This record gives sequence, structure tokens and C-alpha cells, in this order.
Amino acid sequence: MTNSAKTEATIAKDAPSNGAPGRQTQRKNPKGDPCQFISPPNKLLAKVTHDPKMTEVRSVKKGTFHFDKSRLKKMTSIIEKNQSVCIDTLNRKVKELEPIYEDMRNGTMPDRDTLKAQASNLHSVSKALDHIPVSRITASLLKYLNNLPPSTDLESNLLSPHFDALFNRETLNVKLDPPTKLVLTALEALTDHALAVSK
Amino acid sequence: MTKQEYDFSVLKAMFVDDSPYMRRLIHDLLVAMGFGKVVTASDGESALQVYKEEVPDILITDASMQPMDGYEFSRRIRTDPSNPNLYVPIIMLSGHVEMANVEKARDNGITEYLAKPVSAGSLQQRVISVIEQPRQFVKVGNYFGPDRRRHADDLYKGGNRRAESAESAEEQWVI
Repeated sequence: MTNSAKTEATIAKDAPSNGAPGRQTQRKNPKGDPCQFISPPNKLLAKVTHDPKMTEVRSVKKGTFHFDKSRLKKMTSIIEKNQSVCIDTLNRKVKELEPIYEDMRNGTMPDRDTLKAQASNLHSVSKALDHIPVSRITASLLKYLNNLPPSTDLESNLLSPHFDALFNRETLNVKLDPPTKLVLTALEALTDHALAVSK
Repeated sequence: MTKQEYDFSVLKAMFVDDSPYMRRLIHDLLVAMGFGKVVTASDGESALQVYKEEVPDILITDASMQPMDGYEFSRRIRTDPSNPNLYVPIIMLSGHVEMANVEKARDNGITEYLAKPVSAGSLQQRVISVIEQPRQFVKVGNYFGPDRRRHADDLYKGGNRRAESAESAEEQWVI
């Protein structure tokens, strides 16, 4: 067996395969570690162009192909529609927390599973809306609810600041300005502290 | 010369996110873009199963999910030899655009990073990018995934070691 045949055999054995190995090279990186470079066949381009020869193409020149502009318009309208639906849903879900908050202030703690479901739903909507402050507040609340030992009672000292932040979400900056960051970091620290104490 | 239009109807995409609202949004966007089939999963763990069954052409995943997040999901896709396609393009969709998160994504085998809020143009651009400019893969140490060094610095005036070493290694090409 020649040296080059040995190299090929080693590469073929070590390289992960997707059914068609494509081109492979083996050399050392600047740190001296052996590394293997693999250029898998461009199956996606071959598929979308219905041309099997395209598997060899590594880089398409700008302007060779085009994308239907009407599809972009349709996609944009889907995003806009989703945005308005999510804003309504977010506002409605936060409003649903008001009676729970009222009860809590009167000494009745909420049911853990119900609160978890509501926080989870809010978290989902806020992610779709990319409302990072609400997303982080609900993530912190969910972390607390998911990790608090079942035998430990919920603490109003922890829940109240989270509720307050949600009710005053209009004052929080979605681009996370320093005061917003401070509020969110404080809530997350509060959760971490409460969980550490509960264990 | 007339430009050819891409036919996305032959492609299958998969989207992973724990938010049902987000799943519906991205599903609808990919369908509007022309994808033939779009499958979804709610977390990394279930996505691995769906991935093996459906073998999608393109994967889009959220970063923060429970119990398995998008980073771990991506790492598993790249390193589990039982996966049908270790080279699948993975686009990470995340609101956390801090450098540390992007580097974490890169080190876990993500192909492209797409910052939220998602726009029609940015999603379309990332999908076209993985088709038109597929990344070279690299296997070094414990890492297997898209080549992590692709940043082109226009101000850099030094030698191009990657291109030069690739040329010198031409004789080692294996088909």
C-alpha cells in the first residue's frame, strides 16, 4: 500500500459520512494539531435547482439565482399579523395575573401549578414577540417554581417583585438599557438566593 | 440570461422551540417561503428523535429551551454517529446576541446565527446563505462542525495561511 493510499484509507475511516463524503483534506492547524477538512457535496443546491451537477458548487455568484419577491411580502405580513396577536395575548395573560396578585396581597398564596402554567404561557408569548424583559422575568419565575422543593411554601417576597415588574413592563426597555438590566439581574439574583436558601 | 428561481418545495425544514407561538410563526414563515414540509419540536431531546425520523434538509433551533437547549442539541446532531446527516445546516435563532452566546453557538457546531426579532429578509437571507455558501467542515480535537474561521477582515493585510495551506494540500484531496 502506498503512502497516499494509506492516507485516503485513514481519512475514509475517521471522517463522518453523510453517504457521499465529498472532498477531504488532512493537515495541521497553526497550533500543530492534526485537523481534517471536509467539503460535503452541496446537496441542497442540487435539490433546489434540480441539477445534480450543483453538488460540486461551493459558492454561488451573486445574481445567478433569484428569490420570489412576493413570498417575502407574504412572510412580512405573517410577521406583522403575529406581532399584533402576540401583543394582545401578552396583555391579556398579564391581566389574568392581577387577581392572583390581589389574593396574594391579602394573604392567599397562588396554586403552584396554575402559576407555573401561566408563567410558562407568558414566557412563550414573550419569546415570540421578542420581548426580552418579559421573557427574562418569566424565565426567572419559572426557574423558581420548577426548582423549589415541593415541601417549601411559595414566598410572596419573591413573587411580588416579579409581578410588579410584569405589571410595569412598559417602563422596561426591550433593548435592555442599564436600568432594565439592573431590574432583571436583581430578579434573577433574588430567585437564585431563594432557591439556595430553600435547599 | 434569465435568472433561475430556487424551488424550495423539495426541501424539508425542522424548527425547534419551546414556545408554541414561535413554532407556529416560523412554521408559517417557512411554508410561505415555499418549503415543501416543515416539522417542529418543542425541545432538544424530542427534536433528536424527530430529526432521525424526518431527516430534514435544514434545521432551525432556538437557543434557550428545557430540558435540552439548542447548543447541546446542535452538539449532539454533529457528534452522534447514528445521525443520518451530520452535515445538516443548523441556524440558531436567538434573542441573546452577546458575543459569548454567539461563540458558544459556533463552538457547538451552529452554521448560522440569526438574531431575534426575526424578519422575513433575515430568515430568507440565512436560508439562501446555507444553500449558496455551504461551510467547509472541520474535525479537530473534540470539535466536529462547520469551520469556525471564516471572518474576512478587509483591513487585514497579512498572508492567507488557510488558502495557502489548502493549495499546498491539493494533492491530498480525496473524492
